[in-house]
Amino acid sequence: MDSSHPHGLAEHLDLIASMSLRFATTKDLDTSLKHGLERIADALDAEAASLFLVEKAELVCHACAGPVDITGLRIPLNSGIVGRTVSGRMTQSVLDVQNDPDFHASVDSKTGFVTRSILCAPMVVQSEALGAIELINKKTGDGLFVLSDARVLEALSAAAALALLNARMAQALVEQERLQREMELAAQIQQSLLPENRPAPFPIAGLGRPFREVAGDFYDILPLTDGRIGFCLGDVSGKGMDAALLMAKTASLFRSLAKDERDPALLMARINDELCETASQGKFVTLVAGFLDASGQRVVFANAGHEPPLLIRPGQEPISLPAPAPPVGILPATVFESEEVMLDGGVLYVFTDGLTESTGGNGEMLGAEGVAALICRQGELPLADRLSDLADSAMAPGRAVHDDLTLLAVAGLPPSADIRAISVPQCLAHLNVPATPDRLKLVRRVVAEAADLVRLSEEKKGDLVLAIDEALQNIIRHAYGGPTAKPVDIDIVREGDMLVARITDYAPPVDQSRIRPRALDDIRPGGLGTYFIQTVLDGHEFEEPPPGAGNRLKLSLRIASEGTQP
Amino acid sequence: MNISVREDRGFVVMTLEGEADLQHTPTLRKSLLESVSKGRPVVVDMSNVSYIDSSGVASLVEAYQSARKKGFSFALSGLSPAALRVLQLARLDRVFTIHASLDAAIGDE
Repeated sequence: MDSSHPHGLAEHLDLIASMSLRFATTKDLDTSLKHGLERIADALDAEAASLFLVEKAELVCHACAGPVDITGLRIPLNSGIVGRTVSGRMTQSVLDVQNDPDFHASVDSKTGFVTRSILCAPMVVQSEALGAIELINKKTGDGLFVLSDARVLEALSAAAALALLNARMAQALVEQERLQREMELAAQIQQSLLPENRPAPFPIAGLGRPFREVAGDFYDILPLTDGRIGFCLGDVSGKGMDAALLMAKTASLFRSLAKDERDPALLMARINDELCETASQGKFVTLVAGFLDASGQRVVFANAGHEPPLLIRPGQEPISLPAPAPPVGILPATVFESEEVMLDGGVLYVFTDGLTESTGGNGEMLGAEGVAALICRQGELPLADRLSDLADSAMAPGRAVHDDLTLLAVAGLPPSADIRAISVPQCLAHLNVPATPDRLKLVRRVVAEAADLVRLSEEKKGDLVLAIDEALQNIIRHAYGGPTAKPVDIDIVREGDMLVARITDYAPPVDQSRIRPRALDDIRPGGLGTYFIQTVLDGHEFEEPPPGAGNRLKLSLRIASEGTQP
Repeated sequence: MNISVREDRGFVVMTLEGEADLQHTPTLRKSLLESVSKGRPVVVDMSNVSYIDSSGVASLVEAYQSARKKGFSFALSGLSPAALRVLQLARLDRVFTIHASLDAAIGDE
């Protein structure tokens, strides 16, 4: 501290403290810097002040105080007195500006302002100069800045630098969190693109287990109106967001083109040409795409550079089905070949290399033979369960998976099955009634008629009627809190061998954890309806309600009676 | 639904007809509790009840408990397969005294 100006710094302690606080807590740094600069200029009797920040190879004026506004002025990083201050990280006090070799007279000459003396302090934090604060022309005394002015300015500059660094770090954190949220969202969207497995006897099932949040693998299953079922499974080269985008694009190309292209080879060629047209930065997709035809016995597919699918028939050697064609997205006008197989009671398995390249305890890869061995070891399981069992085996303790696991299985249909009835949900009834007890009878009649349409047994019909009646009562009494003219929608559809009723209300969302059946040894009214619903049905769950609705309950009942199941 | 109440051979006999659902529960419950309050054994004949839901079952349970407290019997008769199924689901088929027909209910006592 300079002993000739014993009060210099102390006089401005209040200013330093309040400015530091404001810088540290500000949400709007630019405004705070400008406000701070004005107070600094005022406190130190400067005619003008400016604040420059380093931006790449330049110094840019971010705030000004005084008669001339030079906000936005850019000067080369090492030029001028500001540049000297920043590059040397040393406060510069220039008493005779006009004779300083670094002084730029251009601003003065344009504005008529006369610069006489300058005090310029660097904004240093962690030995890095982020910029500088410059004071011009001391208004009092001999018109020159003194050493105590320099100390005050250095303290304030350091506070401003710290505030700036904080703000930048906070922004980087926000950006990082935004990216993280986007990745999570992308993963969610991606997972929602994968089709849900349909109940048996639907003949195709899939499974996707992403290795990272965003996967490069995908599959799709697409029942067509002519009775065929389209399927595809692909693996995008590379990982991360652009792989995910390419995956979404390929999947939507399959969806839109499979509807009117019967030949898998031509379908593959069209997907390839579309992908090649838009440059994919060296990324490509290995893809298997095909159809199970309406007979439910014959599969045609094309393979673009993907792992050979395996056809596994009971009691026979596994058949590997390789193809020479390259992946899609590389060469336009590539010719692909269609492969045709009869299932003959077997199952066609398509999988990504995440499965074959999963490793055992000694680092040895599972390989196609290993996959086939795992499949042959499986007992009689529903199709979807076979896939999850396969994935579980690959991920068993002592084994390691290094990539997304994506699997698809195409099984045959019993010769008598009507594939269309299985694939496409069949609407049986749709009802919209006010939530009042006097409409329950009407609903019961309609439900009973719908049950007759799918030849439900008398007991199952009674159970379905009871369950839907009880669900409606719960809505009337609990969700709406009493009879009301507000509506309830009831949709009854057949999905495969399940009869599904969706009951939608427009009441506030209910807390599902509070819905409990009563204990049966407790002979009291209440909770009995929910118990009935849970007891007589094969499934009941709340689904995401459509926009504007409050709750949607999905009730499902297996159509076939016990004993007639395969 | 229709509800009629008469006295026969020392019993209060309630005859229910139709569907015992939420719409009719308030009437059914009132009528059941009135019958129970008469200080005689009660038989509820359900030969013509094609449907009963949880609220109907709850009314029966309440009436049954009230009768037991007063020391009188409370029985059901002539349950349709649908109504019996609901009582079975609730495991109440062993709680209630259930007779095949009204005659059996009155004759037995």
